Amino acid sequence: MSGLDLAIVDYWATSGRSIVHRAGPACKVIMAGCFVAAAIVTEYLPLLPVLYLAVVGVLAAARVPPLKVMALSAYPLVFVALFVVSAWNGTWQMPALVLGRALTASLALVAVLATTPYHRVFGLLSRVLPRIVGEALFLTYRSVFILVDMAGGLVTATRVRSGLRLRHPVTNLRNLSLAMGKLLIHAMDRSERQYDIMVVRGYSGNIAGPARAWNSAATDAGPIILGAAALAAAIITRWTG
Amino acid sequence: MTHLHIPDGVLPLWLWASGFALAAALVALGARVASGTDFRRRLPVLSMTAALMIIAMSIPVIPAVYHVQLAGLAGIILGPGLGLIAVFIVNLLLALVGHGGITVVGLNTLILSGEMFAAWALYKVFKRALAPGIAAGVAAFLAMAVGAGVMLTVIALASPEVGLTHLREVTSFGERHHGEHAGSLYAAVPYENLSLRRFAILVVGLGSIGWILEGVITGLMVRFAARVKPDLVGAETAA
Repeated sequence: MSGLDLAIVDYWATSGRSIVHRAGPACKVIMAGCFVAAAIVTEYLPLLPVLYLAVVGVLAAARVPPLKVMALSAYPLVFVALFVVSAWNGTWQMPALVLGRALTASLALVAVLATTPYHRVFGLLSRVLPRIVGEALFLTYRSVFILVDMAGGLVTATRVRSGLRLRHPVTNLRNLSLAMGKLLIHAMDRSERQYDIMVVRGYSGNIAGPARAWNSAATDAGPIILGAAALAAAIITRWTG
Repeated sequence: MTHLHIPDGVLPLWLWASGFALAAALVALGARVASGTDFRRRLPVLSMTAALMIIAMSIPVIPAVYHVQLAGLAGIILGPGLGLIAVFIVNLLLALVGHGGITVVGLNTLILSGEMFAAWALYKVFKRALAPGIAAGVAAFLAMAVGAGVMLTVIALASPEVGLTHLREVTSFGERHHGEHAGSLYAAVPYENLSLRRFAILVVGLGSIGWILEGVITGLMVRFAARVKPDLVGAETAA
């Protein structure tokens, strides 16, 4: 997932007004955790597509384009292939199980970020992380967008100067390194300005404000029930299998 | 290639849980060390470096399947304390968007931290005798090898279970077969380190190209930074 994709996910999360968006971040994180656990626990292959489709259903209820989220969350496919090649035992079940687990877990996590504004997710995470790490998490996420903007300009400038040519990998490497070096310097300059602005605005070592973890029982019950059902199905099928 | 791109549900519970516990202890230690420094001023640098790592991981380098990680660069710029926090944040954010399993965040933090720490230590030694760019390039290359070593150690710890912990006794319809039953994955997966060997060949074979790319790109970036902003990479003491 590129920084641009992250911007799209951020847009879905902040612009949506569905019942899924209105649910508290804690219940959606619990739901995703249940789906990840269910994907790991289950040994019953037919359950995996059911779990996957259940998450797709959540995305549809959130009016987030499911196909686009599915495409974004399919990033692990390349690495699943690498792993399957290295550990394949000759059966089709093994790749199917690894693939099903990876895609279900990945989609469940992306679904949380696609339906919850990042400050609410990170606010929740900050409760269990050291304060320093929580602050850095917020700023890093914001910095990604700043860098994406800057990187886009640099790539365009490099292309305009014929810096990226298919048949010249060595030139490409040198120019890419130079562009990234410039990006590094610009990023550090920007970070210094960012700090100065934070100080002017009264920064005293606390960025992450308290985020509401829960909303109302009406909105929060659905994700928790769905997650619990998924986990229960995985445990039952494993136990009785 | 030293990033553990293993999806959820493959490694055994004890391994990834141990990875989480160890990574949590290290990050807590890193946070403690960092809080003793001028952390507030360093916070934007930390966040920009972590963001740069994320951006770098999304830019394919020709050949297109490779991307750089810049964990070595993070070590050179931030040092081990803040570098640990940066590495953890990068892994956490990537896992949240489906780039690597959420359960392997701890292990990935350990692997990339090993790489980051090695690059930091090697750069400190090499820059006494070499130009900053060359010192950083060689340090980043060697750090990648260290990272790959840590990753293969992690996989070896799980071997022969790796990837097969939950697969040995399962068939497509959840029926359990044991021992030599036909159609059982158990029967198809003998206890030998074949998967580890294959995995190691893939990681070292394909990864070594990535190590070179990482070394070259890190070296060139540090060379540029040493000219424009030498204090960023501690280059003022190298001259």
